Amino acid sequence: MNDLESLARIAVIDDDAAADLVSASTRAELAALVSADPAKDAAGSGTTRRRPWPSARRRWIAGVPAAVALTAAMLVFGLVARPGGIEPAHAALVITKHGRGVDVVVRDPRAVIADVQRFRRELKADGVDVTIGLFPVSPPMVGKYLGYGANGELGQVPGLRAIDKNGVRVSASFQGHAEIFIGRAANPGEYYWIAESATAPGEVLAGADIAGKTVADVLPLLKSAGVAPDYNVEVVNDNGQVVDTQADSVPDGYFVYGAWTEQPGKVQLDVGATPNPPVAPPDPSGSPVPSDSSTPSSTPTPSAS
Amino acid sequence: MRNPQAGDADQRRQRFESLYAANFGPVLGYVLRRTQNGEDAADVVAETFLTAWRRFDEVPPDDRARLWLYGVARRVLANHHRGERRRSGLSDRLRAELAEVQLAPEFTSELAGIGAAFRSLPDADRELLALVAWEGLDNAQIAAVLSCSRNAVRIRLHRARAKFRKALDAPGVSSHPILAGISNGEPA
Repeated sequence: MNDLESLARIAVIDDDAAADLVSASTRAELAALVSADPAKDAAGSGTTRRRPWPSARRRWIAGVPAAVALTAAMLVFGLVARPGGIEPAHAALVITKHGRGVDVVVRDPRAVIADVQRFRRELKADGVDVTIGLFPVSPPMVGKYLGYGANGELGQVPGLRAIDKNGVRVSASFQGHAEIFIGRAANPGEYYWIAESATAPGEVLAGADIAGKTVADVLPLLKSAGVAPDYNVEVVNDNGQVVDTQADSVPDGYFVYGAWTEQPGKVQLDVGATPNPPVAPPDPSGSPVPSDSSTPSSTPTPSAS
Repeated sequence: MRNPQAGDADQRRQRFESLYAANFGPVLGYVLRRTQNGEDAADVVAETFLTAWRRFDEVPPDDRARLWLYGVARRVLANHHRGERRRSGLSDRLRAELAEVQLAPEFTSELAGIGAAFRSLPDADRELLALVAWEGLDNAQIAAVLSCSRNAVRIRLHRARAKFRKALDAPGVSSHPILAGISNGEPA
């Protein structure tokens, strides 16, 4: 745990000290001001005051007859295409601006990868605030559209939604920086951006039956697949939290819970001393244990495929 | 809904006040550890609690409320970093008090090296590591803050730690003497 311990040392302040920085009267004043806000008691009104789409929309409407501005405008970026020189059949990236925002659909991820700088420039030139991210992934995902997100994270974000399986609709009121992500091959030593089960089709241990087996059972499989393990040991700590510790080696009798793609030539094995993964005991204080499906994802998960 | 019944409104206010009292320190601490600028922290804290007030019906009960607030603070902070600063006026006094705060710690070169290694990581990795090391959250709690699955947290954390260790080992980061000197992981 040395890395986390060292990180803890550079925390500039703890919660109690932070609270002590503020006088009781200022604290009370803020609470009073906040709760005086006309929240419209509105259950979940969640009135997010969002800026209108900044430049793109204005640009588009400027100088365009109103009747035209109301209809959708499609910009198609093919290998040579610009508005006016459209070849939809070969378009790698299709941008559609409309009253609700902008749609970005990836038709040919490989073509986008091959000329990504140009596609980025074109998006920028057209005032579309959507970034193209290329991320290292394991072989089955190379050259595929991975999904969309914002601020460097793949996943659902209010204001963004999936369209056309390979694209995103960015609502006009969205205020972050939307991104679309495409998988590229990883370099040696480079971590994959999405962890996929190493036993999934096309992955390095495709089809292997490893869950519940011991490390001694699984190591030969890894060896024949040409991959080395990295261990993630799961334990319940004194606070009842399930925590992971990383290890270069573990006892042969440890049990394997799963294997994840990590980087070329390496997999991460989840292991522990018990046949089944440890589970945090129910917390009387009501500490959360969200189920894997109860919350919308806003981060990379293996479900993106 | 025109006017909620007064009783409901009072009850809502009371519940908000206890949420606020229980979480002011943790939320301010969370923000200060990430911005180290008192005035910015004041704005982010005010916006976070304002969001909680406006969306009070979405705030989960018990300890999960804190995680929910961390999630809101995280988003507010991200917007703040992008320059979309909101000064609602709510935070004037808080800002004035926190403006005096000087959090730039006098790090030894060793700690500065850890800081540099940490800052070299992508934002998402930093946040994961910080939620463990600074807020003391476990994977399930982090999953609640980030609205993702525990499994995703586990895997991403594993990677973030690997990257962090690599950064600590990079030339110019005098990590080893420090690491060897740590007897336990209690936050300072």
